[in-house]
Amino acid sequence: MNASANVPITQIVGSGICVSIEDGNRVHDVIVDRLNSGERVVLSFLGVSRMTTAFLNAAVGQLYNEYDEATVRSRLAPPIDASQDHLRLLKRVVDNAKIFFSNQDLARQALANQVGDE
Amino acid sequence: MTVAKPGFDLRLGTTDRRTFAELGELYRWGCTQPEGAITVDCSSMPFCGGNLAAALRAVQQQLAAINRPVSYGGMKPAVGRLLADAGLFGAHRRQLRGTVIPLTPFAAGESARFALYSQRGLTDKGLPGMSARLKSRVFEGIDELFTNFEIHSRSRLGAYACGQLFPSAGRLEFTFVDLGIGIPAVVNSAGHALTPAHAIDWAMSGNNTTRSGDVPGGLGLKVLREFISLNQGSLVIASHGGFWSEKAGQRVMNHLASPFPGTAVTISVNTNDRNSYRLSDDIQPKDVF
Repeated sequence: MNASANVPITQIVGSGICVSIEDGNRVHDVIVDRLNSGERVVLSFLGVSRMTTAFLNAAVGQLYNEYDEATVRSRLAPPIDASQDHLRLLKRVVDNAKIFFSNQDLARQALANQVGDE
Repeated sequence: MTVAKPGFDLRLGTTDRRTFAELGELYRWGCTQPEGAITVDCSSMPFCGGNLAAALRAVQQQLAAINRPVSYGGMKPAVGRLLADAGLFGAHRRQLRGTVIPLTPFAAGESARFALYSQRGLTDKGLPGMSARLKSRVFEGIDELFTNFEIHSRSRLGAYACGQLFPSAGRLEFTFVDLGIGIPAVVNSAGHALTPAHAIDWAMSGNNTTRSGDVPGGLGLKVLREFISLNQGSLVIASHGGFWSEKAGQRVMNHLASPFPGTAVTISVNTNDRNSYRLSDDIQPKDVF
């Protein structure tokens, strides 16, 4: 059984305001680091006062592009210290990510659009 | 030599139809007495739930408003202590106890004060575990009682609230009473010709409301009612000529021959309930990924 690693979002971001993609990416990198170390990740929402889907897409959503759904489910423990508002937003992001990354054509198109925009 | 004026032989008990019928009788009797102090004989009353201090004070207030101030005599010490601690005889005779949510008067416009009072009063009184969202909705239901008083009751004498935890019985009772025109009159004036008890039933059903241009009034109470039903608690409403109660999904409706002069709503929670509750659309952390 994998050891659990607590990933406290606000400690990584440095505040309870979790709204930017950059901050989301920092959380994402910590999650990936722990997963690659063979640990089971426990996301802690303690102190998160504001949160956007953009932040969560970067932090969690893109994991569904990097790992298959079963792996994410088995390696991410149920989040802790999360309010219903946090869980609602996270669930929305996760559900969208599952649909989005299961349709590779759509994902490629979105990526192409993103690259084209830059 | 003076002849002692006969008093009313009061026999209250738990929060049930008999008690509200008795309170209606007390009010009817008081109205027939000559102006001046009237005495209520409590010597035949072996028990009275502290939360009923709100209903008793409401009747007392209605009678005082027509110049018939009430005094109590012959009260058994145990009953006297319960009602004194609830605050029926004034704050100076009240003992602060963790089992009591003190009798408190409210006026229209004091919804924020009532919300704070009910939240503080009901916390740590043995409510079953529930999710934050459900708790918020349950308290919304309790706040809805106050809104109904403000919008519908036309009470010129305000409202009273009081609660009592009965640890040995595993029950928490919270009673809110307004001294207004009553649910049957409000429902009938909205064009629904129903008996008093059926008028209460109509007001408690689904999305029925007598408010115009407002959100359906039943919604706030709906969650509270569902919670009480699952918890095996009860809801008891006496409003003028109607009595309505619901326990474990069983509704009882009765006519009160002597109307209770206001609307009393009692929420009774089963504090022995070890279940934990959440709204059915609450998201569980284990279901996120």
